Amino acid sequence: MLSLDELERLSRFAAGDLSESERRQIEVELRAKPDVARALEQFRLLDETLFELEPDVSSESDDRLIHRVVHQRGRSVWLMAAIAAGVAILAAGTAMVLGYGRKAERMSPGTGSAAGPSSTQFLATRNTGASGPLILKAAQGKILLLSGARSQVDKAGALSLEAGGLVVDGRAVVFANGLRFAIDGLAAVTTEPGDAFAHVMQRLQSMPEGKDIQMRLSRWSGPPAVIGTASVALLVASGTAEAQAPDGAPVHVKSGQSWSQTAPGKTLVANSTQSASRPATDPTPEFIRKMNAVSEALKPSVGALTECYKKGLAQNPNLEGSIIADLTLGTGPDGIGQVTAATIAKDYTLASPFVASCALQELSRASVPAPAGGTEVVTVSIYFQRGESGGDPSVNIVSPSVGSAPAAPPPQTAQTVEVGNAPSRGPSNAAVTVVEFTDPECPYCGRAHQSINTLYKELGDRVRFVLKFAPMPFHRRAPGAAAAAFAAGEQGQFWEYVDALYAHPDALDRAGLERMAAQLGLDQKEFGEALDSNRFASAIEADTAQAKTLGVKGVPTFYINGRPLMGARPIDDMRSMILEALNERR
Amino acid sequence: MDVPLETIERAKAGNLQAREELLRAFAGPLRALVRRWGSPADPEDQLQELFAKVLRVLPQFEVAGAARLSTWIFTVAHRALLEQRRRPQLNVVPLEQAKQIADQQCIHRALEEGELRRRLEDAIAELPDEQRRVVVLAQIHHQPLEAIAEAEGIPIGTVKSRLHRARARLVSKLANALEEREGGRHVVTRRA
Repeated sequence: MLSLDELERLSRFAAGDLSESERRQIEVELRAKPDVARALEQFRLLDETLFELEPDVSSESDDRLIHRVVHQRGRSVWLMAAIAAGVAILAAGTAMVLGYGRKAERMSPGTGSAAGPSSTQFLATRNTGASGPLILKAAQGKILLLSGARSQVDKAGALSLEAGGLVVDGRAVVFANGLRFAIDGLAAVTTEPGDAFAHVMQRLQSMPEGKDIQMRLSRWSGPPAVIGTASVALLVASGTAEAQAPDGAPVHVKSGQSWSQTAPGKTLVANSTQSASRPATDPTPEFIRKMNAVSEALKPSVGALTECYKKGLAQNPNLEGSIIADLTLGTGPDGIGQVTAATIAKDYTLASPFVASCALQELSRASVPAPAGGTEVVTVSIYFQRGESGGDPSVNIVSPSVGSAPAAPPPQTAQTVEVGNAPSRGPSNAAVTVVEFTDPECPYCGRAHQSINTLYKELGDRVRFVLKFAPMPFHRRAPGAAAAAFAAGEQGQFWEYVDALYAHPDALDRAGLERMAAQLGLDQKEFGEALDSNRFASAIEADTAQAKTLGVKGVPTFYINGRPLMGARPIDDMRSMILEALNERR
Repeated sequence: MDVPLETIERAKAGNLQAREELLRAFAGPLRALVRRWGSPADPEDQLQELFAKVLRVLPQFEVAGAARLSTWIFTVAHRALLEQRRRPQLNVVPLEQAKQIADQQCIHRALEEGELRRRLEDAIAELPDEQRRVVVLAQIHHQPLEAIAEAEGIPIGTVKSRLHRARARLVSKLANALEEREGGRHVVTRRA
């Protein structure tokens, strides 16, 4: 592989951007060095592909934006007016819900009167003289309650947030979950579990009046503050804030910083290990009934999930894919079933963390059938599909064991995975066999292989660990590296060599492979001859074909007594699945 | 992106219909530009800001001048995006955990049609900002290097070094995938 400097010189050569002498020099190299000629060809292919990239992305919202700009309907009129005049803007519906000691609950969009922005409440310091006095003694500026927020104003004129989030733009004292926040600047406070920043941004996105604040908050570069329930997070975008911790000591939070008070409880993206409660074999009628009930309960969330997806599509019009989520069902204090945790289980083909996270948040709000006792985990697949020929994008929530999916998720039941002559360690008659499909050029495979090494040390006397190579088609050096491992295996050092491969992912060319062999003290001549013989190719191809037949969609994938586990999962997940298999065999 | 001279003049003079027409001609390319800038801010907002900016400075555009309308608009848009960027750093914190999960797998997707383009888009997105801007303008929007130099406020020599550096990075990153493109080996397997 040429260095970046060499490639840059070649790029200049291709563009005719070199002096005469340099050009001649490269022409000589092109004849003498296949590497250089190959790279030049790669530049040609790069240009071809660049040319195919879309220079023009139209969207149905273009006309709307154009109309708005040309006809000068600025989106920030209200904000400027409020700042300039220092008066309150009373959004429709505000007067009826705000007052001393009275509950303030946000109305759903569209229920207000026609005048002014209809879906937001603003509290300000002065009386407009309009429909009803609204004086917040503790505020000089504006407080924007995010949709879904519940709050209350006390006699001192301070706002208490009971649930959801708010944004302060100005000076205000607010309370949330019993904590006091004195804010001077632009800051968000939220009690929503999960990623506080994402929550605030997402809520603002659905509020036309929040666009400006969203823009200003989008410069946020501090930590996102992931919080649990019964907790609160403060994000300060500009200015300063003081948070009064439960012990009474004030905490100063500066611009660009966040502060959160966490408490145990529901968290969003948690570790997923509850595979024990997943059905392993044929579902029982009771299970099917339950899944149907869950499917029904999740239907109302489809609209919200579609909104998440549309936001993702706005960023990437080609976005499509699926996520498989584990939902932990529990019972709330009121006896009603709720989702207490939502986790991405596996097989994440939707290339948008934002949409996935947004979808999890929405799913975690669903009302679901209460479990019989304790908690239960159900697995659902969510498919995000673009509309065909201009149609609307769609989202389908499918329970794996009921209904039919647009593309069936991989079976969770055990499959027969032939081990054949593949390298293995651990007793050959072990009760549990772990087959690892891997690729020497895939960094996640390396990470997962470290876990396997650890588990082998722990469980190697009871578990057999098998390794098979299934290189990805675009990993050109992977087959050679795999062959080198087999060649090292002929000299009794297969596993040591695999470790070396993962330790040197950047050195998988022939020279690198030979260096690793030398470092392990292998017979270089024998190793070289074995590599040249190409005699391992058929084994690698056979393993790759087997992976394909089994339905392996990515590497690394593990089969634990035939049950698949995809991706580089936390070692605890792998361990618990292996222990579970051991227990089953007792 | 061909806008009749007459429309440009009318738009400059403030005719609303002509202004709409002009913006419509550039909406798609500007949206593509905004997308590839990779700013985490709302692309709709950014696009709206660009539209507003174009209309604001449109009277300064000389129909008989040296620059073509498209080059001029890209220069204006590019500057506006730079300006946005220079305000306190736009930097949305990624949803780390979700991303980690996404990263846990090397998705075994075959090099079907479009896969290479997707990887190229990803690689462009990973370039350093100043290199990405040059590649996007020069190689996707086919803007002259002189105009890019003007928009960026840097000498043309610097534009060239950034461009070639970026191209070197792209080839270095995608070498194998690019060669897959060669022998028609796009379709290996499709996802089950």
